[in-house]
Amino acid sequence: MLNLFGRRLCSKAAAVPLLMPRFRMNNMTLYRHNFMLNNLAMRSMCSKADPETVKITFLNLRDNSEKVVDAKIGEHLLEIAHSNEIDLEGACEASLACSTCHIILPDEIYDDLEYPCDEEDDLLDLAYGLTLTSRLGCQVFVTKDMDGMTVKIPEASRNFYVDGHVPKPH
Amino acid sequence: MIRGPSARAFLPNRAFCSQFYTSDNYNPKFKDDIRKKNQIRSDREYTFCIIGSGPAGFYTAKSLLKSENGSIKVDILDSSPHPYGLVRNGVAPDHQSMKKIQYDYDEVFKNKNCQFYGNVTVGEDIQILDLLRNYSGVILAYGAGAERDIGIEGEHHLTSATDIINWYNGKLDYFQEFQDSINFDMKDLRDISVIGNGNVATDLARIFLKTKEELKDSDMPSPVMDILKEPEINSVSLVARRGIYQSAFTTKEVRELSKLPQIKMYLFKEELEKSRNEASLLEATPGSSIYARAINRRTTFLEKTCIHLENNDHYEEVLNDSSHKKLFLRYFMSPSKVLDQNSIEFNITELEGEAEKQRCVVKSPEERVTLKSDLWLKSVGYKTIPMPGVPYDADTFTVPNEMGCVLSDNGEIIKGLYVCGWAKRGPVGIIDATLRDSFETYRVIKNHIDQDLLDSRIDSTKKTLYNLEKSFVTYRDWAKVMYYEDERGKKIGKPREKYLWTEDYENIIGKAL
Ligand SMILES: Cc1cc2nc3c(=O)[nH]c(=O)nc-3n(C[C@H](O)[C@H](O)[C@H](O)COP(=O)(O)OP(=O)(O)OC[C@H]3O[C@@H](n4cnc5c(N)ncnc54)[C@H](O)[C@@H]3O)c2cc1C
Ligand code: FES
Repeated sequence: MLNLFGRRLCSKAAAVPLLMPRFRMNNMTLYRHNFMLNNLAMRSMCSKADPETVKITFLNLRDNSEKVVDAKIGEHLLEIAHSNEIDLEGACEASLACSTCHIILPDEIYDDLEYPCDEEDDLLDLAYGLTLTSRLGCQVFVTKDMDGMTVKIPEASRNFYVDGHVPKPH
Repeated sequence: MIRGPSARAFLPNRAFCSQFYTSDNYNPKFKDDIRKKNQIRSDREYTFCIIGSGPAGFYTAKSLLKSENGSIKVDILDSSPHPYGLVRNGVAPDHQSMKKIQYDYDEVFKNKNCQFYGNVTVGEDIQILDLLRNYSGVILAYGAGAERDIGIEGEHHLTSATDIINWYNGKLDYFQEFQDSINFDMKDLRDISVIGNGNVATDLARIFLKTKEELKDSDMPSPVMDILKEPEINSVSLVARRGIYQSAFTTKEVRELSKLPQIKMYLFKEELEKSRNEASLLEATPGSSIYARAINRRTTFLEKTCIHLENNDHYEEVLNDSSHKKLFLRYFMSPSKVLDQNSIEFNITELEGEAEKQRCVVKSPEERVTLKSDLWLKSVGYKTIPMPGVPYDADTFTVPNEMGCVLSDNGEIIKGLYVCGWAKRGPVGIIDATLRDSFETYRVIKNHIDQDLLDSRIDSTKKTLYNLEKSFVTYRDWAKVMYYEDERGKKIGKPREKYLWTEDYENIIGKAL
């Protein structure tokens, strides 16, 4: 089910539901369009207060550290990670050129998002430790439905953890 | 003696089992404990020396500097007066989004515990043993600076891809040298061919095929642009030894080419069909390996996007059609002899072996074709240059190592000597891959620190670099050059206008280099 852009939002902002399509459409334009509506509604709702946030947990599989952060709706996950000092690289500064911002989403969140565009898929091809729910952090924008989700930052390198072996000098 | 690492060295040795905490033994109850243990916790002071300021050196430095208590200092050395390695001299000038990575590097160089020493060549100006003696650890991140040979007769007639790339990226003091060394006249070029079909080959194709207008946002030096964009390029061919499934470029690069408005891409129907053997189809079956998805997507993309050429006549017809520019992807051709500057003789190859291990073989050596081109470029990969005093594996052209710990000639780990990046795993892989293997090296170093295996050092720089007779370039110096490059660029609407001569650097930073 798409309804990405906040069922809760629709019920609060009276003007918006009319504009919100109630059926699923598989295209990126709608994604962005909805997204703008969402932001628009947001701005009119909470004009002075902080933009609305949801709780997102980042689980870094490199060291199993976990951090719960307040994520602003509408920002992408790389931005969120950076403003919370979470170790996620973003070598090309979100210009869809590098794949260093690879993250793993929970199944249900991944399923609800639109498919990645071709360019993102091209980079995912090259991402280390690709999973079925992998995305690029700079291409996934926070929505209300992401409240409480855990985003995984994949292992950084090869077999280091396989047997816990670290070579050391004699 | 030069030899490869012993097989034994790669076997996990239980006796070495470390205290490293893994996801397998992760237990939420001990989360804090694990977190602390996985961060550098030593209160001793360490100074590390990183040789090479490309992505590998940079990511290792970045990780080391994250130590909690600021007990780690890092000196980064580079033979060139500027930092960034291949990001500045390799990554194509029109890939500015990739070059943005430099800003991330700059943040690291601004860290007070990190010092850049440019213009210092290890092995010449200073020896590795000196560094090993005075630093807590030395990390080799010096990349793969030499080009591989194909090993055929007449190879010297070919122009090296690296030379062109260095030239169009404005490598210091290289502009005139290149002009003097080439045996062709740039303005006469129409059809160009590249031996090899990796991302470097696609970079070359794109740079040659794009119009001046399409390159205006790049940081290609203006004098280069004037010469490079003088000829009207008609076609670029990328010639590879194996089939379509084994292409070395990534989908991202060919998609980018396919989107250029005036370009059409072509495949030979016969070569496409020949590519579809059982093993190759298996290689592209999703789930069969970690590469299958990428191979599958790339092949599907090529099949759909390229126009299929029926035969040679069709090819000639297209080649002479001046309505658009062409990119020809050629397969199953192995160069056997360079006849002259413009003609190369090829053997027709076939694939042999099981999926993922397919090799190309020449079954009938008498079957040969001669291809002609105004310019032949060779882009068959790189190799690491041996560094005096550092073990070297002449078979793989890398520094022998186990997870980044350098191995001596008899397969033992040399204390305090590490390797990362292209010098470690060979010249393959994008920056993301370099990032990941640097992280592996960093984790080994961290583990060695945690187990107190490394010596504490504080006055390393004083004892080594300050004794040099030559002047080095600090990050502050470099920042001045960068400032002027950016300013020059702004005036003409480019990201930067690079300085091409050491003399320019000297004038700006006020010291002789
Ligand atoms: C033409 C080209 C284009 C590429 N384009 C892309 C791209 O678009 N996207 C992408 O993700 N990847 C790209 N790559 C791959 C990427 O550049 C590599 O993954 C990465 O640069 C490897 O990093 P490194 O630090 O090991 O080596 P390098 O970047 O080569 O760094 C090595 C550094 O060591 C220095 N050095 C060498 N010898 C000495 C010495 N004796 N003493 C002191 N210093 C020394 C060198 O000056 C250099 O600065 C490209 C590679 C090439 C060749
Ligand atoms: S930061 Fe480079 S692709 Fe996301």
